[in-house]
Amino acid sequence: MRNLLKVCVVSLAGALLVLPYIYAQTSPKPNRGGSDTLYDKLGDTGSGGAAPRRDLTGFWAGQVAAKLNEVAPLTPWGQEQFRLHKNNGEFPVSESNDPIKGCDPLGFPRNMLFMTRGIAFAQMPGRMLELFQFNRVWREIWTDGRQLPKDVGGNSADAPDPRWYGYSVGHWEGDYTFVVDTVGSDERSWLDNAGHPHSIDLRVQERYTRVNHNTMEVTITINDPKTYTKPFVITKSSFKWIPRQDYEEQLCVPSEEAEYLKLIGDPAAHATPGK
Amino acid sequence: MESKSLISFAVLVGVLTVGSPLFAHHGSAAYKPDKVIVLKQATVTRFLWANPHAMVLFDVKDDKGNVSHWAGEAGSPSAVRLLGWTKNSLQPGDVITVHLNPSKFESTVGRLDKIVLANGTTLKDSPRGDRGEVSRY
Repeated sequence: MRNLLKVCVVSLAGALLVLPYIYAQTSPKPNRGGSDTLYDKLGDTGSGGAAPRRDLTGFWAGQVAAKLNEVAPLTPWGQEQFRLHKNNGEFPVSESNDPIKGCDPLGFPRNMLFMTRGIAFAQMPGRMLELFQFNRVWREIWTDGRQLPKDVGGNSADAPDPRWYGYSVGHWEGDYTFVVDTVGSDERSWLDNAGHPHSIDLRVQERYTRVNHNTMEVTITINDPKTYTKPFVITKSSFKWIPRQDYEEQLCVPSEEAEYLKLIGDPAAHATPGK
Repeated sequence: MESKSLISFAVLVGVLTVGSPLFAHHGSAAYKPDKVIVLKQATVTRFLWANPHAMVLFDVKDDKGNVSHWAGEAGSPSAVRLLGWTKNSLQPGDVITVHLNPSKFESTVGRLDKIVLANGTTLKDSPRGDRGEVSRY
C-alpha cells in the first residue's frame, strides 16, 4: 500500500512538472471585452428628440457584428456551396478560405452583418450614399425612380457584371423608413462569417427606420431561392447616433494582412519546434 | 502523516487542474477560447500597429535561460484604441505580462486577452464578433 502511495505521489509530481511553467494561471473566459465598442461606450443616448423627416444623414455606431438569426434551410445547391466554405470559426486562419482572409471585400450584405461598428448616410439628389467605416467602402443607393438592373451576371451583351456591393435602389415608406432593395451581389462574397453562401439571384431588402433622432434600426431580409428554401430575416439590428459625428479609419491592408499571416495566422496552426 | 500529505497533494493537483478548459466549439479556430495562460517577464521585441491586426512579438525566458519567441494578435488599431492602446503603447525592450488564449497546436502564438505593463497599466484586447466567437478584428 505504501509503495502504491509513493507511486501515485511520484506520478502526480511528474505530471505537474511537465506542465509548462508558463501555465501559471488558467481561467475560463466566457466572454472577452464586450462593452468596449463605441456602440456600448455610448450607453443610453436617449432619444435626442424626434426623428427628422426623411433623413438618415449622419454617422451611426453599430455593434462589431449584428446578432444573426438562423438562416433558412439550404437548397441542395446551397448545401454544396456551404460545404466548400471553410470559415474562421471552425478552421485556423491558415486553412480558412474566407474571402476576407486576403483582404478581399466583405461585399454586400455581409458588410451590413459584420464590421458594422460605423456606418454613415449622405443624402444627395437622386441617390443616397451609405458609407462604411470598415475599408472605407460606400454603396450608391439610387432614389431617382430607376429600376434595378435585370439579368446581372447573365450572358447577354448588355447584362451588367456582378458587383461585390450589388446594385441598389431605395425609397421612403412614410417619413421615417427608408427601404433599400439590392440585387447583383457577387457570388464570391459570403453571406456571413459562418460561410453561408448566396447566389447571383440573391435579393436583399433593408428597411432602415429612424426611431428617433439618436436611434436607427435596420431589418434585413434575404431572398435567394437558388440557395435557401424560403426568404428569411437575417437580422434586426440597431444603430446609435455618434455625437461627434466621426469615426475611426479601419482597413484591411493587404501588405499588413500578409505579414499577419506570416507572423500569426500560419504559425498559430503549427506546432513550434521545441515548445 | 503520509496519508495527510497525499491528500494535500491531491487537493493541490485538483486546484491546479480544475480550471482546465472545456473546448468550446466557437472561437478563433486556432486558439483555445476558454483558456488563458499568463506569460510573465515577457520582453517586447516588436510591436506592429497594423491593420487588420495589431501584433506583439515578445520573448519569454524559462528557468534554464532558454528563450522562446512568442507572437500575440489583438484587434484592429481602431478597435483597441478605444481600449486605451496607442501606436506607442509598447516599445522593444519593455517587460510585460501577457495573458493570451494559446494555440491548440502547441505553437508559441496566441490571441491576446490583455497585457499588463510594468507600470501596472492594463491593455485589454477587443471584443468578440457575432455568434460569440472571438473576432479576428
